[in-house]
Amino acid sequence: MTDAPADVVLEVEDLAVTFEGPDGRRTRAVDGVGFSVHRGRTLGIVGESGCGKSVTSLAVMGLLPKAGARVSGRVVFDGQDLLAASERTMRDLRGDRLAMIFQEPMTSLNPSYTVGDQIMEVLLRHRSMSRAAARERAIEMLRRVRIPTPEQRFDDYPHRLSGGMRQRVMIAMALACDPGLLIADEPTTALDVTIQAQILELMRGLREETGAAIVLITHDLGVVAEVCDEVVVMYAGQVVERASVGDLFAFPQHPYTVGLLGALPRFDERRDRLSAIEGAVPDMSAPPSGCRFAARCPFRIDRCAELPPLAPVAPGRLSRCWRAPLEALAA
Amino acid sequence: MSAVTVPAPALAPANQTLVIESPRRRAWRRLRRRPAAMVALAVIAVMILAALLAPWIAPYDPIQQSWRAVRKAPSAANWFGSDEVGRDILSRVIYGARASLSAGIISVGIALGIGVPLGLAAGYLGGWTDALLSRLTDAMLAVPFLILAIALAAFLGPSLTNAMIAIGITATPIFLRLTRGQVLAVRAEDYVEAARAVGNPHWRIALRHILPNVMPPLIVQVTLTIATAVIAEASLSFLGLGQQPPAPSWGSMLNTAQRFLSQAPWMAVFPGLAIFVTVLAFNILGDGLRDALDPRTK
Repeated sequence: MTDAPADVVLEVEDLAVTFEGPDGRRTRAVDGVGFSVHRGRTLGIVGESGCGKSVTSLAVMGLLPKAGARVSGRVVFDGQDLLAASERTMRDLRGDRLAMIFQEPMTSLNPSYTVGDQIMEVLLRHRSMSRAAARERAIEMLRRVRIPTPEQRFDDYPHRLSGGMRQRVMIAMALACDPGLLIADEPTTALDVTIQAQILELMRGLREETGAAIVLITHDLGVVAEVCDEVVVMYAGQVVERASVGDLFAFPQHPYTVGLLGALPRFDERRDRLSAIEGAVPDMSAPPSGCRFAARCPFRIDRCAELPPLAPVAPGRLSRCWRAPLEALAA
Repeated sequence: MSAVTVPAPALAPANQTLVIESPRRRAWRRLRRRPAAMVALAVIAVMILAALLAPWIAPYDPIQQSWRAVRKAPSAANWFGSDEVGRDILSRVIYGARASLSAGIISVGIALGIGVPLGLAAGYLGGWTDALLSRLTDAMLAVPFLILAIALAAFLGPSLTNAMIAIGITATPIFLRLTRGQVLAVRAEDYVEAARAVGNPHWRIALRHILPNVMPPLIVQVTLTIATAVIAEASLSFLGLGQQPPAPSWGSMLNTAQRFLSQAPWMAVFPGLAIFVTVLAFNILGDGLRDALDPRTK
């Protein structure tokens, strides 16, 4: 919020997604989510499974099923409201200006085509270039994601590559057209730890080279600390806290964030047990009317029966808690 | 900034074996290791060659009658014997392969040509398209294969072409249903979502990203259905609804032969054997292909 508005690549305002089940039951998976991402910066969206972080990313990409999902709010990318855009416009943007990488590199590549073919497909779809030029660019992309001997890997089928290599190919595909925004939905979750570090390092390097803004969706606070500049913490479809990464780890301002940090293993203090957050995420087809975290919150007060707003607690940071700022409580 | 160095052992040695193996080539390599399937493939190849080269390899004209050679047992002159009007059975079996194999292949071609696009549409589009096509498929599959083929052939009128059309239409729901089921499974794959995420239009996702991945079970079904279609053609010809006399067909030869079963069993044995061997070969090849194309088997 301190940057000049010209730098804002993606602005999401009051995004809400409601799914209607076949039995007519409505589930509000995302409820009033807002954030902005700046050029060359990385925004982390953190939360546990089912908190709506993946649905948020699919809504931005326009990839939610037309039947069954109702999306409202504003998603402004490069000055254009994506929710108002036609499917045709969205198709032209996807893969070109808007790119996405997925959680499962093992299954996100088509087994019937070589990796080179799959990168070329993106280029030929969005750029008017010859096949020879696309091939050259695809090999160049494989080199940029640091795949060794890219000329030979170009003709490999996905089943010959390891998970880490496949995720590199997915990143090469995503960045082939120099997108303005890259959404990475749990890009390292399916990989083992040493490969995770390599992929994160790669993403950080490529962000510096290309200046793309990145939205990184994860449940792993370690990943957030590693690569993000700003963080949005989501719980039960709502943003509960928004802060820069340093502030979030130093002074969490929402009891849920405190709980998440408490559940992290650390080397610098001795603890016999990790503290878990008791209880479970509320049923989203009938969310509680008050604070959604209240049932699991150790700092609960009577006022929590009322839904707290996402309010500023310090310059540049927001918290959805009646008791914020929490300094006095966290001790 | 520090470049990421990839530890070399994490990869297959790049300069060593660079045999790029496409899924097709891998299936072929695995098929070659199955002797039964390879024998079946050889038998089918011989049958197809015989059908194609019939005018050159058949010893006699298949419709040339000879009153001096009526119902002769197999001999050096007539290897498979001769029939009730003195026609050479070997020549008729060779020419009969044309009717049987073209009926098998063309009718399955018809079924594939209608069933696969409709199955793709049903599976990919869903909704009322799927509901309509699936009910139609259920209704057709509720009628036994041969009964439906006979009814359609009788409706269209007796000729080999009409028999092929009847068998083709009858086999269509098999391919429609198989394609639909496969598409439903593949449509949920991550790479289909990834294909959408790079801006592909629906038609391209359906044809380029889904269709190739539903092919393996279809290939297996094609070989098995050819076997069924060969039997169906023989049955229709036996009943007089397929190949019309005097043109030879294995089914109609069997029909004639049944009247002379005790006097001239060779009239029945050889066309019967031809049907048996052809159908068996296609079935064994189908089984072999199924194993070769199944990623779970080694």
